[in-house]
Amino acid sequence: MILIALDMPTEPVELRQWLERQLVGLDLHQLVDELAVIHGPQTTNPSLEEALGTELPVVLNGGLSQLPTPPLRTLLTHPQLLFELQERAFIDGGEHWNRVPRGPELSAAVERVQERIFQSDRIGSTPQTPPRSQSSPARPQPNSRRALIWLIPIATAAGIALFLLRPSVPDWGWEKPGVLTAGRTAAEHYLALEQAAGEFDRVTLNRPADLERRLREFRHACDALIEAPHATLSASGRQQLVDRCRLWAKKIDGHVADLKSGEKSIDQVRLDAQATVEALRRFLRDEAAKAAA
Amino acid sequence: MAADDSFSHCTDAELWPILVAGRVEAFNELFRRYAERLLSYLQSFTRQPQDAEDLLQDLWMKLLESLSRDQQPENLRQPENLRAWLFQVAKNHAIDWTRRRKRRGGEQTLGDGHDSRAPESIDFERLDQAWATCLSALPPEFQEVLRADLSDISVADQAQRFNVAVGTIYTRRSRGRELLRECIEGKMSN
Repeated sequence: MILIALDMPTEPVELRQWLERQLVGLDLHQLVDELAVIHGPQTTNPSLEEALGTELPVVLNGGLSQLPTPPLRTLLTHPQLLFELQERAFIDGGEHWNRVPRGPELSAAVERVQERIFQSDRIGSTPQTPPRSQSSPARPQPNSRRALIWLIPIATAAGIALFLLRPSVPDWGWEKPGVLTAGRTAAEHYLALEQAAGEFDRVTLNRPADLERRLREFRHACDALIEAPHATLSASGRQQLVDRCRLWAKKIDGHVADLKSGEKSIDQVRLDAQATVEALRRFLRDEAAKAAA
Repeated sequence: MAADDSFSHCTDAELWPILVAGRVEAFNELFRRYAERLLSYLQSFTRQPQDAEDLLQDLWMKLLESLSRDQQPENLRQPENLRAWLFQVAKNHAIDWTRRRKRRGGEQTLGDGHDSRAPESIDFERLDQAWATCLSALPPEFQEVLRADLSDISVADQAQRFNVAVGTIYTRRSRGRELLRECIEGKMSN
């Protein structure tokens, strides 16, 4: 167990931003437990309306940044109110709450659910049930989309083309068949990864939805790269690659967040993303050169 | 999930008839729009990631099944209420789940509307004990600063209250948090 409350920033601006992230994240229950322990039983039990008063609509619309200290303190000392605030922000909150950065673990969890909806036995339990796919239930395999055509009649019978719920398997980058196992030597392996990464802007990415999809595919491929064996690399080389990929993944998450928040133009996000891709390609080229030397 | 851009600008009210008409892009857009928030919300009830994911899956599957029967989900009268409706269904789902779990565990049956978000788990009790033990083991000046700190009392106010320099507050805070974390995490991992 990692304590969350002890990471609470003390600077006012940071604290409010941090609390917003907790409100939209996956560990609010733990923070509430910790704060309840820290502050102990309270003599009063105000409702959210009482605690925030006229600030409530402001918070729902624009977040916690303008919330004065006294009501913020009430939220922290009566942490059950955070659950109420989470609920209200999700149901009645403005666009601000969509822009609060969410951790990659939340996206990953949602992707898992999406995958399971696709593979659900309930849809497949009709008389038309075909044999289950042999592909991994946890991750889409490079050529699995073609193997999933059997689902179409079932999906049609269900009145909805469920097969489309599955994220498409990219035909580019590190998740393209064979890329993650490419190369007989470390240098070849690095170069194969470098070339595959270079396919990022092979297509036009002028629409936010296209760029977001491309970034998410890249992000997904980062996870695949982290999990891959990289058999031609030494243990330290593999670890270095994995560490780098975690950094790249964070950067890509940042680009997606920038795009979704609208705080940066699509052109700027695309440029930022291209810079990230170029930096990681440079790293891979350098490592290839070192390995070949 | 890649959503069709032409649907990303639709309001929920505009999305609903398209969804009912069986357009998968509308379902994808709805999922993209709300799945993360619903999962966070559900996990506040279940406290367990796996259970929250199960409930989220179940929620969307029920919606799909309702749509496949060409029936609008019960109680959804106004498309404008789609977001509120999704969260209400999620809440009901979570409360049912809590009730079933309690029954399986032989605990007293809960009344309608019980909110499982109240701190009541075994982990909470352990944390409570660990916190009390560890905090009381700290030097008193660290305890004071940590309590004030977590109540969002400013460093300047703390310095004035405890009659010490601001720098001392920073030092006590940092060292106090470090000691407390080590102690509590050690106890919770046992």
